[in-house]
Parts: sequence; structure tokens; C-alpha cells
Amino acid sequence: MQKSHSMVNNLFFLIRESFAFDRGLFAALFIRVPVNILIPLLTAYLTKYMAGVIPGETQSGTFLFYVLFYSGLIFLLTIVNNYAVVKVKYDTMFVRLWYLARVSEKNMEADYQNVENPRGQLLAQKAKNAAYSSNSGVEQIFGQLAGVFSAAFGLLTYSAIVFDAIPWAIPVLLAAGAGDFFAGLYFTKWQHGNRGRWAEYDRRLDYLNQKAGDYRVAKDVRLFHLSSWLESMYGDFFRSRAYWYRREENRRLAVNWAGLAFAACRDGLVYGMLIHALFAGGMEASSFIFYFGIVTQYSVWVFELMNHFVALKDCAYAAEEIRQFLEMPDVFHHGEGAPIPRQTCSIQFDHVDFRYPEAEQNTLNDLNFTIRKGEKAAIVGANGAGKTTLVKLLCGLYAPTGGRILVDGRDIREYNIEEYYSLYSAVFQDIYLMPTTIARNVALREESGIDRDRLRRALKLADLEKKVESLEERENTLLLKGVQEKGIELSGGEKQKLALARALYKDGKIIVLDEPTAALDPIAESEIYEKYAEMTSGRTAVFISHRLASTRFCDTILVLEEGRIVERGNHEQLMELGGKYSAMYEIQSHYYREGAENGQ
Amino acid sequence: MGNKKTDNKKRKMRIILRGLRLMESLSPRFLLCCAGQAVLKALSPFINIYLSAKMLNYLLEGRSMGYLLAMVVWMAGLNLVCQGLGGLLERLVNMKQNILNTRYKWTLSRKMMELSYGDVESHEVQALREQIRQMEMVNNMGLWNLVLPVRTGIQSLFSILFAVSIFSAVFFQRGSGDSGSALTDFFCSPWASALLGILILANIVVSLWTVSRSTKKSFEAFAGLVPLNQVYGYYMENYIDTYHSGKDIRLYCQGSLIRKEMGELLAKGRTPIKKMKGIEFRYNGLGAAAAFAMNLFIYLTVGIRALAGLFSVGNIVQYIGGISQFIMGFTTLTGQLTLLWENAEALDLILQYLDRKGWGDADGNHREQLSFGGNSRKGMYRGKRSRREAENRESTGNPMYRGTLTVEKRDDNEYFVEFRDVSFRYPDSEAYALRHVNLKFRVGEKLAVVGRNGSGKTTFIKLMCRLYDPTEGEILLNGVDIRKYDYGEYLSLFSVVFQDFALFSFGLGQNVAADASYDRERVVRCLRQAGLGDEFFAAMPKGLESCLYQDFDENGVEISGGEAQKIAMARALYKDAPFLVLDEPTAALDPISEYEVYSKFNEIAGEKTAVYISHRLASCRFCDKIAVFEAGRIVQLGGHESLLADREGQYHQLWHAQAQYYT
Repeated sequence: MQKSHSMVNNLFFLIRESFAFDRGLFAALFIRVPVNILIPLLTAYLTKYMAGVIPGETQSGTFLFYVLFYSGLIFLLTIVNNYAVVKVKYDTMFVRLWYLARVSEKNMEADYQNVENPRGQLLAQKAKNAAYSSNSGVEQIFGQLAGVFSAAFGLLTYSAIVFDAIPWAIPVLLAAGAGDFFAGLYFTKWQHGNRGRWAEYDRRLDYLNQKAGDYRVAKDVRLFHLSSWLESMYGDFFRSRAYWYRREENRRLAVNWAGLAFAACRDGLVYGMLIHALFAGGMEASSFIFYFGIVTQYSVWVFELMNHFVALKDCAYAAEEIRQFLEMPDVFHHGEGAPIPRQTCSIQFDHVDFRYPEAEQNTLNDLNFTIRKGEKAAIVGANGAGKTTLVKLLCGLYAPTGGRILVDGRDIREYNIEEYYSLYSAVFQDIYLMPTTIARNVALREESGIDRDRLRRALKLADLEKKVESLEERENTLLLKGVQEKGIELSGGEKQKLALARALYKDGKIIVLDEPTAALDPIAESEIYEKYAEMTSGRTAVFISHRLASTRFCDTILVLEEGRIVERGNHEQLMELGGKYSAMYEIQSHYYREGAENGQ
Repeated sequence: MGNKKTDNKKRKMRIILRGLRLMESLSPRFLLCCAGQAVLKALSPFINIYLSAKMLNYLLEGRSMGYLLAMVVWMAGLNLVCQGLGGLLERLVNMKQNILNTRYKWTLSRKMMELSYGDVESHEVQALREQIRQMEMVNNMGLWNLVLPVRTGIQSLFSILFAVSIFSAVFFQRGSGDSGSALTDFFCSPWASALLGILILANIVVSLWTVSRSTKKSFEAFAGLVPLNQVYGYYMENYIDTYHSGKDIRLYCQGSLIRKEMGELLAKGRTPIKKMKGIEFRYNGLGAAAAFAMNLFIYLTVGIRALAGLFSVGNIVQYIGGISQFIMGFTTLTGQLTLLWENAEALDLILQYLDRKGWGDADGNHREQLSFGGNSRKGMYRGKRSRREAENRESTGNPMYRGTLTVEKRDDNEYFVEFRDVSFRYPDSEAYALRHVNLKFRVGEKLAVVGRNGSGKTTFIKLMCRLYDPTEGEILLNGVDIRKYDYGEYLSLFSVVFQDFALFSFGLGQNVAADASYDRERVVRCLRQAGLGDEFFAAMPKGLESCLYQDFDENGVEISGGEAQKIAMARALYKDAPFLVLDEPTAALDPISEYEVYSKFNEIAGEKTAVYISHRLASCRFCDKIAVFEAGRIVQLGGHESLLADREGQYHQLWHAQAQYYT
């Protein structure tokens, strides 16, 4: 956990960063402060003037002039303010999107292990939420700053005016303001302090809403009649949540009433003083009305100062969440690195240990092995043996907690990690498509950078050419129906082929395949094995599969058990050894051999 | 043309009324409390306006200090009472709004559980839901923009009423017309009163026009943002943000392309946003100018009339305060009414969604009531009238025929199922997923379903479980068309483990029983039967109460894919239905666990009828009958040995594609 920053530090962070992004906003922001103070002040002066006219004496021409003067000024200020408000309202959105883009950058560039582990995910989630809606702190800061400055300067100006006439009102106003302020502060503190206690119910309610509304669980909902269970859970959680709603509202009411009591005392005292000044000190009736308005506005300033101050705290909090994520340190080398090998290369694990953060045991223990240049290696083992972890370590998605991994004879931490990634053509079991064209999805670059011949070759080799030809827009067809209006949906098998095409287009020096055929039918599976054999020729390849049949085309097989390599050799050698591998193979092949009895 | 417009108006009115009724049924008396709070809020500024004017008049009349002090006490006291009551009502409103919010969300989610499965999967419903989600997320359209205008609208309505009552006297004053100053004479004449009236009316018209124009134009500009937002949101929420795609992002250096894509979207988004900014600036300015002209005239009229002695100076304060409240109230009201009006279309989407018929609706199944929050609501939001309207709308979607026949509970479990010339086409698709399927099997039989990806295996299961009805042909249970049975009862015959089964982040026992309360022994028995051993139970910190996954509970158990599959299997066993259907139950399992499932299969299935889909043909050898699907048809049917003997058959091909590596 990185150290957190102070509120002031965070606010300065937001101001500094936003200033660098958009200076014009700050100009608009600071126009609003004097305008915010002047408009109510001018209105009070206008009222004062009007209350001071003397029937029969004041000329209607003079009157016309004053009224025109004051209301003209107010009108101009309103127009200026309108401009500033609209500008701030829309332009701050771009500032927010810019923060959001920075969070996304970090999400895409940080070491994978940092964003994959639950803590990293939480940080990423919080950072994103801090910039995700218009209500978020990074956008609100501008309005809140204008509010705080307006309220603070307004308070000063008005204090000076009040002091001039009824100096004793100042302590009363301040005391009532302070009472209000602390009551409000108490309430927000209570909210912050207890938020965690109702957040858990909110999360559960959200979860239930999301699950119940999810079409993917609809089958189970119907066949297991889950609706009554889910609904009773929803009711339970809501009852628990409602308890906190009630407590929160009761406190809000108490604080509200306390504030009203303060206000009643304040009004009684200050207006009383005004009347006293009027009778004892010869204040004019029009000034009485003027101060009357000023005092009313005074309490508005106090109220706003408190509100904006509390809101600024939220802004600082949002900044903190963003910084926590942006400043998360990386393990891998992101600067200039050793030259990336240009030929087929070897892979060596040298006493590699790996433990997931907060886990109690190593997932991988003291792994020692070498895969030679151009060798095809299979990794087999039971669920949870550590196969996928091993592959992630190799690809540079995780860093070993002990030992080192060498590629082409060099510790992978010496390479620039982004360049290192360029060595790999990997196909994983889960495939994610981007809401863009097929061409961009395969080549993963924009049109101008796409090598069309290479694209066609990759599509053809992946057996996707026919499908693409059948589409009106061909490779420029958009993917993802729900997201792009004109997008199309691919079947599971087609997605698998697209992933293959992507790997082919990239043409990495090392091929990594993590259970790419689990969902395929036997014939498609068999075809894909053949494709992979073709694809891996002249490359170093690592292959994970539960179907031991597929390991037969590999040069070497590593058998993993509880994070250790227990056997190694090619298929024949391991069968002869008669250990774990041969046992697994026997079990699986048992049913395929002729003569095996039904159900035995 | 004119008629169409009135029709549309009527339609919108109906929608808004139905929205209000929905609100009332979700959170009873919420609207009433809102109205109460609004009256008090509207009243509050008038206390100061009225009393301060009175004070000024007292002053000018030269009354004693005691009178004024009494006024001050009155003012403080009235404010205290009015705002104190307001606070009390605010508490009620907030609580009721929370209830409304919670119930509303659940009403939407629950609808998904009530719809027919075909509806749930249809693009129509999914698009509708996505639209609703987008609207709510981006600018609170839907129910929330019904709540807000109603709350603020009522308040401004009362503001207007109070304001009129304290300044209307202005219109009925007239001067003598001989003051010697033309200016004074004019402002004191009835003409000025008439002009004042006209100006106020003009201002109302201008503000109505600007607000509705600008809202409409902003909405148009905003519509251009929606598709961009959808793609942008997808990147943010489903791509960059999930660690799953993080592997691809890094290994395929997708960062630069994603940056480019999102940059393009942002650049496209700038135009509509700039437009909205311009619209808002222009129309706000126009409104301000109109208000300025009117204000000026009011000040002059009121001031000069006071100068001419038509009323006391104290009343200036009252009239001006009253009129400014009037204008504020009016601007707010027009804004809120426009919002309400524009929002009607969004609200209509929500009502359309809620109006869709659920699977339990036609057969008079008693729908369960949400039981929390004290008041029991009758019939959710559907009053008799809204139900009738719903029917008038002629419910969309596929109205599945709902029978009422009870499924004979046979002690001998003697059921048989028959597919008779069944063809099926998904609602959104042209091509048939199943064609002329004929199949008969009886209880106790073990049926395997094999075939290539997309050959119709899962569709076959979905039809059998009546998630869909056949497009042609019929499915019979004990010789009776399954559509004639009561839907809920028919479903109770099936225990299914789908490939993409769903478990929930709640207790293990509840997950197995699919219920809040459960029979502990039976849960344990089923878990063991499904192949979970001592090791699994030892890893459960709170036994059957242990929470699955760590979404909510730090002590929750992160289970592996294999364990999850076994828990899903246990759930199917707990249900203890005569039919057990397993859709690729071993896909995620390693060879040893796979073997365990195979070898215990007969034991697990027991006397039940079992249907088994698998890509691993080895598992089919257990089954009495194997149905081979190809392109939606059953091309082969029989036992393993006989099917394998047919060297030309699909089964032979599938088998050898896999077996070649093992022999």
C-alpha cells in the first residue's frame, strides 16, 4: 500500500494537472468568483435604493437612472456568469475524460500481475470510478473551487459591510455559522465512518440485480426456480440496508433541526440588533432593509462554504484514488532494454518460484528446465497444478518471486517488457474481441499499418477466409453486435479461428497455446491440432492441454504436479516410465480402445 | 396532422400517468410526501418577504420598537416551524425514495426472471434493456426524470400561487394622472398595468419557448453521442477494465490501437458537445435578456407608483420579492415540464419492457410478492387499468401457449418423452436450428447427444426443457403435448447442468438447494454424490454456510472450475427430478476428475432418465442410446457398437478424430 497524500496535496495535484490540460477553464473559473459575490450585493443595493425613495421628493427620472444602472449591471454580470457556467459545465468533462484516459493507459501498461490481483483490481476500479461520472471529484473540483472561493470572499466582504453597522452581529453570525458547520461536519463524518457498514448491503443488492437481470443465468433461474430464493435474499438485504437508511435519515433530521435552532437564535439576535441600531443609532429605514438582506445572504455564504468544503474533500479523495493507482510501482523493466532476439530462441527456467500475493503457499516451486530453440513442449497436469501460472510467468505477465527466467540466454527482466511481449504469439482459452473491424482485430493496428497480404494469408490459414468473403464489408465488417450498431456476432468456433489468425498475423518467435480447444468438437479439434503443427514449425512452442492426445506431436512433455515438475520426456519415454503421465494417459485412452466394456 | 399531434399528446399524458401510478405502487405515498414537502419549501421564502415588507411599513409609519421586535420573533418562529416540518417531511421523502429506488431496480431485474426464455434471449429485449440502461446512466432519463420534475414542479407551482397572491394588487392600482410628470403618469396608468401583464405573459412564452427548444435541440445533439458512448463504454468497462483481456492487450500490444480507437470516438464526440454548449449558452442568454426586460419594467412600475404615493414604500419590497419568486417559479416550472415531456419517451421504454408478458402470466399463476419494506403491495404496479392497457398494446414477444394440465406425479416414474417431427428456428434467425427431429426415449434410459459445434445439440435440450417451443411439430410427455402442461410443473421434471451454469456468491448450502433454507443432510449427500470428498469439506471454513467466492465475504471460498461444476451437479441432484440433463459436464476437468465423473455416472444418474451432451465421445459408451446430430438433424441413433460399425457415419468420423491419438 502506497502512502496516501494529504487533502491539500491532492487538491494541488488536481489543480496542477488540470491547469496543464486546460488553462482557459481556470480563467472561466475565476470570473465566477467576483460575479457570484457581486450579483447578490448589487441586488441588495438596488433594494436599498428603492426602499429609500421618498414619495414626493425623489424624481422619477433619477429613479429611472438608478434602476437602469443597477439592473443593467446585474444583467451584464448574469451574461458573463452564464458564459462561465456553461463553459465550465462542458469543458470540465474533457478534463475528466483525460484523467480517465490516463487511468486506462495505466491499466494497459502496468505489469499484468499488478492489475490482475484483487488488490490491483480494486485500485483500478476505484481509480476508474473516481473519474467515471460527471459527479466525480475530478470534474466537480472546478465548480467546488469556485464555490469555496466565492463563499470565502463573500463572507469577508459581507463581514466588512456588517461590521460597519452592527459590529456585535459578527460574533453571533460566526457562532451560528460554526454551529451549523460542525453539525454538518458531524453528519458527514458519521456518514463516512459508517458507509462501509451499509456498502456491503448495497453491493449485495447490486449483485442480485445484476445476476437476476443477466440473460446468461436465465436458464438456471427457470429450471431451478431461483427467483424465489433470489427474491428472499433481496428482501433480507434490503431490510438490513433500510435499517441504516433510517439511522442516516434520523441523524440528518437531528442535524437539520439543530441548524434551524441556531438559525432562529441568530435571526432573532441579529435582527434585534438591527432594530436597536435603527432606533438608537439613527440608521435609516432603507439601510435596515439593506442589512436585512445582507444578513440573510451571510448565512447563505456560511452554508455554501461548508458544503463546498465537504465536497472538496470528496474531490481530494477522488484524486487520491487516481494517484494510488497511477503511482502503483511496476516490477518489470519499462525503459530501454536489451536487444530483442531476432531468431528462434531458447527458454530456460532457473530455480523459479512463484507465490500469488497474499497466498500462503508457492504455486510454483523451484522449477528448472530448458526448452531448446525450436522445440515444442507440452505442459500437462491436473487442475490447479500451476500450468497457466507457468505460462503467464513465461510471457512476462507475472514476475517470478524467486529465481529467474532466461529467454535467448538473458534474464527477461533485462528486456523492455513491451518489446519482450512482441516475441509471443499466444492463444488463450478465453477470447476477447474489440468492437472494431475484423481487420483491426486481426492485425491490431490501424488501417494504414495493415499489411493486406499478410492479413489475407492469416485469415486463409486460420480457415476464416470463406466467412470473411461472405460478408458484405468483408474484413472491414465491424464486430460485436450489442456494441456496434452494424456489428456482427461470431460463433465460438469462429472466435477461436480469429484468435488463431491473430497469432498467425503477429508471427511471434515463441508460440504459447493455453487449452485452445476445450470447447471444440472432435473434428474441429483435430483440424486445429494440424494447423498448430504447421504454425509452430521453426518456432519454439509451449502447449497446455487436458487432452493428452494432443501432446503426442510435442517434442517434450513436462508433467506438473503441485507446482513441481515430476516427469519430463517425450510421449514414448513417459509411457515407458509408467508414472503420472502414463496413468493419466491410460485413464483417458481407456474408453477409446476397442474392447473396453460399457461403463467399466 | 393536428389529430396526430393531439394523439401523441394524449399518449404522452397516458405514459406519464402510468409512470406516476407505477411510482405510487412501488413506494406508496411517496408522491404525497413530496407534495407536502414542496408546499413547505415554496412557502418558506414568502415568510421573509412578507414580514420584512411589513416591518419596513411599520418603520415608515413610525411605530414603536416593540412592534418591530414582535415581528422579528414572528419571523424566526415561523421559519423554524415551517422548515422544521419541512425537515420532517424530507426524512419521509428520502426514506420513501430509497424504497422506490430499491424496488424499482428489482422490478426491472425480476422482469428478466419472469419473461419467457425466448424473450430473454431475444435481441429485442436485450436492446430494450440496453437502451434503458444507457438512458438512466447517461442522463437519468426514465423513472428518475419523472421523480425530479414532479418534486420541483409541485414546488414551483405553489411558489407561483403564493407569489400571485402577494403581488396581484399591483394590477389594480391607478394614479390620478395629474402628477405633472409624463413618466410618472404613464407608470401609474392602467396602460402600464396592462403592459406589465403583457410583459409577464411574453416572458412566460419566451421562457417556455427557449426551454423547450433548447431541451429538444440538446436531446437531438445528445442522441449523436449515444452510439459513441456505447463503444467507448465497452472499451472502458469490458475491455480495458477486465484483467482477462489484459493478457491480449499486453501480448498483442493492443494499447496503441485502443488509444487510436478511443481517440477517434472522443474527437467525434466533440462536435455534439460543442453544439450542446452553444445551444445552452444561446438559450440561457435569451431567457436572461427577456427576464431582464421584464424585471426592469417591474422595478420601474412598482417604484414609480410608490413615488406617486399609490402605496407605501414597504410594499415595494413585497411586490418585487413576490414577482421575482413568480419568475423563478415559472422558469423552473417550464423547465421541469419540458423535462417531464421529453422524458415520456424514455419512460415509455420502461413501461414497454415491464408490459411484456411473463411465463407465469397467462395461466393465472400466483406471482410472488416482494415481501420487504412493510406494506404488502397488491399486484406490483399492475392495477387493473394498466393491465388492460398492457393488453391493448398487444403484447410483443412470442406468446407461448400456456397450458394448465398438471403433470401426473407417477409413483412408478414411468415417463416417456417423444419428439415428433420437431423443427425449430430461433426467433431472430432465418435458418432452422433443428429440422424434423424424431426421437423417443423412456424413463431410466441414458441418452447421449453428440455432434459437431452448432449441430443443434443444446437447442435440442432447450426445447426439451421448454425454454423454447418448437416452430413445427410437437414434443410429447406421456403422449400429451408438453404445451398443455402447467409450465412450472413441467419444468420441475428436469434437473439440468448447463455448460454455462451459474452459482451465486452466497452460502454453499443455499446454492445447492437453490433456496434460502435447506435440508443439511441432503445437501451433503448430493455434494458427495457429485464427487466432492473430505478434502473439499475440510476447506470450507463455515461448512455449508461458507460463502462461495470472495465478492462479499473475505472468508469466502474461491472454488476451482472443476469444483464449481460438481456443485452445479449437486444442485441438480438436490432437485431430484426424474430427468437429469448434463451439458458437457467435463469440459473444464482434468483427466482424473473426468474419469471420476464418468465412472460414477451410472451411480449418479441412478434410476433417472439421463441426457448427456459431450464432445468427449468416450463418455457416450455409458449410454443406452446415442443420438448423432448433424446440421440440425438426427443422422444416427443407436448404441455405441452399432454406430461405430457404420464406417460411413458421422459417429465413426467423430470417434476416430479423437481416438486416433489414443490407439
